[in-house]
Amino acid sequence: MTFDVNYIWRNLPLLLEGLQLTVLVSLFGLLLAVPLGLVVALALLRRGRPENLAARAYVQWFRNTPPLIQIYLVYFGFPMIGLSWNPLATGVVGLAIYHGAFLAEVFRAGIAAVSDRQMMAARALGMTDGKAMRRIIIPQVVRLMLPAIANELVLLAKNSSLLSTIAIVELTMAGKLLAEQSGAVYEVFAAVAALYVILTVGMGLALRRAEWKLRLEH
Amino acid sequence: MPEIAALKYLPVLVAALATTAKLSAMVVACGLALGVTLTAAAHLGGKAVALAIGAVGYVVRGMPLLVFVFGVYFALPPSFTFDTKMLAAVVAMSVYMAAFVFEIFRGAIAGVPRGLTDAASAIGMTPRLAFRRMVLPVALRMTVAPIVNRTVMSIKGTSLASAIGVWELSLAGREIIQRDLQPFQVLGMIALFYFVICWAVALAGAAVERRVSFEH
Repeated sequence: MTFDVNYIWRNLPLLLEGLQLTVLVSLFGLLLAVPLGLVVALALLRRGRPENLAARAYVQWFRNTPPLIQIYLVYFGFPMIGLSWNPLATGVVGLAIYHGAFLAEVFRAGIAAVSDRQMMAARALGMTDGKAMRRIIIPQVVRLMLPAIANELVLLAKNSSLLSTIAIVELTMAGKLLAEQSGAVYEVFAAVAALYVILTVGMGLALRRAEWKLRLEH
Repeated sequence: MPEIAALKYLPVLVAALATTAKLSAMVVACGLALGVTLTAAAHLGGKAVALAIGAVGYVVRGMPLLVFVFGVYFALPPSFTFDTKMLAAVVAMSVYMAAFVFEIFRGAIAGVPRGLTDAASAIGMTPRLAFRRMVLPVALRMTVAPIVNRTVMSIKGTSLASAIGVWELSLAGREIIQRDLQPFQVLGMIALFYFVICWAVALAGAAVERRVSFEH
C-alpha cells in the first residue's frame, strides 16, 4: 500500500470545487433554517394555541427521524406534487427542515431566557407585543444564540455530505467519484476528511469572530 | 380501489427494519463500550495517550459520518466469506460514536467542580478513592442526557449504511420508491419506524435522567 501525496495535489482542484458547493449549500441551508427555527420557536412559546401543537409535532418528528429520509422526502416527494426543482434546491430545503427543528429548540430556550423583564419594559414604553419581540427580544436572542447557531452551521456542513446520495457533486461525492475512478482510496478520503475538518474548524473560528463583533458594548 | 403502497410493501419494510435494528444495536453497544474504554485509557495511560486519543477524536468528530463510512468501506479488502458492507458500517459508525462518547465523558469528568476533589482530599480520601466515590458519580449523572442524544444520533446515522449498499430501511425505501413512485407513503412509513425507535430511546433516557438527577 502506497500513499501518493502528489495524487492529492493533482486532483485538489476537483475536490475544492466540491468544497465550494458544500460551503454554498451549508450557508443557504442555514439561511433558510434560522428563520424557520425562529418562527417555530415563537409557536413553541405560545402554549394552548393550535400552532403550538403543530410546532411541537414538527420538532419531535424531525429531530427523531434521519435527515437522509427527510432529504429523500423532498427529493422524491416534491416532483409528485408538481414542484420540479433542481436537486440542489431540494437538498437545501431538506437540510433546512431538519436543522430548523434543532434551531427551534435552541431559540425557544434563548427567547425564554431574555423574555420576561425586557418584554415588560418594552410594553411599558408602549410597544406592541410583536414590535417588542422584533426590536427588543430577537436581536438579543440572536446575539445570545450565536455560538449555538455556529454549532448548527458546523453540523449542517457535515450533514450536507448526505446530498451526495441525491447526485449532487459536493465534497463527499467528488471524493467518491475520484476514488472509484482511480482507486486511490486512501489519498482521496484522507484529503476529503482533512478538507471537512479544516472547513468545520474554520467555520467555528469565523463565527467566534462574528460573535465578538456583535457583542454588546459594556 | 387503488393499492396502498405502504401496506403492500409492509413485509419488505419490516424485514429491512430488522437490519436497521440489528445495525443500531451493534453500533450503540460497540460505540459505548469503545468510548468508555478510550476514556479509561486516556485517564490511566498518562498525558501522551490522552493527548493522542483526544487529537484523533477531534479529527473524527470533525468529519461527516458518511465520509468516515466511505473511507472505512473502501479501505477494507474485498471478501467473499463475510459481509464487508455490514462490517464497514458497524466499524465506522461505532468508532464515530465512540469519538463523541469519549468527548462526553471527558467533558463531564473535567466539569466536576475542583472544590469537590479538594473537599474529598481534606477528609482524607486518596485521589483514587475520591475519583471513584466523588468525581465519577457526579460526572456520570451529567453524561446521561448527552449520551441519550448521541444514541439517537447514531440510530438515525445507521441510515447512511444505505450509501455503501447495506440493505436496511433507507435503501429498501429508495428501491421501493424507484419502482412504485409512492414517496410520501413509503417514506412516511419508514420515518415512522425510525421515529418510534428514537422517540422510545429519548423517553427512556429522560426517565433515567429524572431518576438519577439530584433535584427532585
